[in-house]
Amino acid sequence: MAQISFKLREVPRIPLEIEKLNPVNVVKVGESKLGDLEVYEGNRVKKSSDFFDISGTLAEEAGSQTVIIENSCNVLRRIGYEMMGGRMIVEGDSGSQTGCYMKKGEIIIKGNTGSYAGLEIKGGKITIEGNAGEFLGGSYWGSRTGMTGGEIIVNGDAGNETGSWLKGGNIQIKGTAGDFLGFHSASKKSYIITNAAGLRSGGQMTSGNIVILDPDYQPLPSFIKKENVTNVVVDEKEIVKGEFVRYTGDHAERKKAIGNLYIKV
Amino acid sequence: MSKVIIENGYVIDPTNGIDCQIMDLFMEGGRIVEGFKDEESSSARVIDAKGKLVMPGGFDIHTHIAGANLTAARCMMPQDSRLGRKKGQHFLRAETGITLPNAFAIGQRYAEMGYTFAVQPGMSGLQARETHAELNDIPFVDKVTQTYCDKNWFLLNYLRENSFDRAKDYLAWLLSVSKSTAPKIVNPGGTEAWGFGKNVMTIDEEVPHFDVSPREIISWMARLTEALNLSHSIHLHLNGLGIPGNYTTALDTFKSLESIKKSSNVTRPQVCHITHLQFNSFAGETWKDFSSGTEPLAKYLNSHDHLTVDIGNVIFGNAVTLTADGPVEFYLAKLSGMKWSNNDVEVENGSGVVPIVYRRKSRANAIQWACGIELYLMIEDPWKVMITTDHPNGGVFTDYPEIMAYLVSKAYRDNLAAKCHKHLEKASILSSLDREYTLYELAIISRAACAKVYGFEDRGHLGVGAVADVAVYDFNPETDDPSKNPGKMKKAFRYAESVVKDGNVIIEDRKFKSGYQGKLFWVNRPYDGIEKEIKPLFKDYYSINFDNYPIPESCIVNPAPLSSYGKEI
Repeated sequence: MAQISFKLREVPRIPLEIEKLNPVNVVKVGESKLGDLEVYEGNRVKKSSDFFDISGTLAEEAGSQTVIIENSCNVLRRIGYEMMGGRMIVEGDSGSQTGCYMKKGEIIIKGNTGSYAGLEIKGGKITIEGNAGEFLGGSYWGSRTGMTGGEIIVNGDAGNETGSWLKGGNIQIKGTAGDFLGFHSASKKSYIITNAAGLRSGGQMTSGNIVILDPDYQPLPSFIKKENVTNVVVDEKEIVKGEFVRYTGDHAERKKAIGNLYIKV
Repeated sequence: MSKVIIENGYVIDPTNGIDCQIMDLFMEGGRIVEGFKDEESSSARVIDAKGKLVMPGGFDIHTHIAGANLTAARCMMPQDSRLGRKKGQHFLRAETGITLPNAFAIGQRYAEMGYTFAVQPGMSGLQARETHAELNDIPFVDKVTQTYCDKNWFLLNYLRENSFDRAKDYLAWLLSVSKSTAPKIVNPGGTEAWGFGKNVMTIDEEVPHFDVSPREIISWMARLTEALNLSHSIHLHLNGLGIPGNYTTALDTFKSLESIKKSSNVTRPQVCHITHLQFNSFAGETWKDFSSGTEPLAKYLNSHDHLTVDIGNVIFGNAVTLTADGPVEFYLAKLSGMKWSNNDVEVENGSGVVPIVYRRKSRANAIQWACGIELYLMIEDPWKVMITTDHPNGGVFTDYPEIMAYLVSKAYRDNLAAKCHKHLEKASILSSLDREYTLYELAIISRAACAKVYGFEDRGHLGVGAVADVAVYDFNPETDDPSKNPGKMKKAFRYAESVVKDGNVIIEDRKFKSGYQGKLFWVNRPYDGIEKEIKPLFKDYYSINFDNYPIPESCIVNPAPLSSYGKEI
């Protein structure tokens, strides 16, 4: 796959916003203009060549283009923000707002990521090999619509309010999620699977599926215990194997709530 | 001072009976003048309005653009501020927000629409400082504000004791020190009862502690207003807002005002201006049989001349309700499940904020939408009707052209009605109404009538001596038919071709040409002795010092005191 690499020369003194360094833009501007792509240093518009060494080859079209951010750190914000296609690999940590509003494509973060990763994404896939910050795959503060599609996978832990106001798409956390996982979700066909979670998972959800692989997990009192199930099936697909107890909720939000909370036996 | 000529346009000036007449307008020193001598014309700035409409600047008689409620709403809806963003440049400041535009966006978007005057409908005396600080930041439009009076403990006490002269003095003092123009009344008695967790359901139900009824409060405030010769009347948000069957409360209130005698020293036609009547025009008893109750209201207004109304339309989409009607906001929060904030201001006021979404497929919202339009179509005299959305309660002010489209084109509104909840047809009478407004009538309800109702003799029209607030719209009344092309009319009225404010060209060819800061009008009424009486009470009841309560003119940008006859002093 054709790869363009942006290698950060030194850790910037204030956060940079580098949403313009993405596969679609890279293919659009062409090799000679890569250094001119805009990078925001606070409220100043700078060039990518001011901070990065650029190398690599361009693809014919964005869908086949990979962009690598080398020496990445948590001071680089908005990596893959509003991404429309192609692939991004972050070698290191990424700062906040990684992959927000993403429509298509793939982002792989080889380290940790800051808050608001995958906020309100519409599609695409985000893989975080380290830990995620707060509001992973969530909604903008005040907004009543979070993710509407796409996939997010975290190998490590996630912070509080992951998957808030979930309307579509799926989230998998292989470590521990924080408090308020899937808070206010309303999406029958979506699921959130986590190895363990903090308090109040599924709070105020009206539909959706949350799976917690920790048998000691205590659900909210507004969730009603139903039957035991073998293997969790969502939208006619088996998403995880095992024995689970199914709860419905959140009945404090709506009497006839149809959210499912599965806790491993 | 600079001269401006707007030539060759189709002038619509209802106050002076001019309907699409091709004429030239001459402006000098911020006013419309008869003409220039030939030798002077060459130094004038000329705007060619050939094939376009020329109207007085728009006048929004009820729009929440500043104050504590807006601050609370903005805190509750941070997601709105990521929309509508526009960078600042030259003399234009940065804009954010759609449902809750920031102060700069408010002024700039009103200017874009050719609006030159806005009425901030209510603030409490204690929060006047915050309101004025925000109004200062709104560019272009002239502004006034109004002070809440119906929950004011001083006024309620004077009413209970029947001390008319002392109440009159107090009201003069209150309007002067809060730098406002008229008393605002909101669910009279209801929000005071809300302090005790209650509300008032009829206009004869008594308010706890003060033992006065809404009927008595309204009458009292109206009589005080006439006694003070205020250029605007009381501005009334009716009891029972938003509840099925509330049209009967509206009718009771209308009738109760028949006995008020208007001052002979004012030019306005009304003794009371009813605001956002749409929210009080419902029939039915529960949300299941909720339906339109506009017919009896229109019938009454058609046969009585002591009231004027603005409609407060609902527009489908995002909105936020923010009113001083504390109990209604609580009720709405319970009904909708949306966020809610409640505010109590010591001695003076209460309020609430609930963000809301109006949906076509919601039975109640669709009927509200229809009621708003029915009122315009059934009230025969357009001079009694004014266009508002009670921004941002029913919708955003930048959507006024959408309402205008409903009024000028039956096809346009019927088309949207067909996409609404299926019960709309039976629960409203909208589909049976064929009336289509003319451009002349639109000019009345969006500018001419509003200025008159607010008591201004030199605004809302283009006669010689009028303030040179003029808007040019790219719509040709000879070749364009609003009924057949409401979309074109909408665009034309959303972005005025040219706008002149106080004789300054601020927009030309749809581009801003200069910045401008309008005036803040306030009523300067003499008062005598009342301060001695209320100062000690301040110590007992308020948490601020008496001396910090009045807003000095130095805190206001371009303050303009008004005499009681609506004229600048």
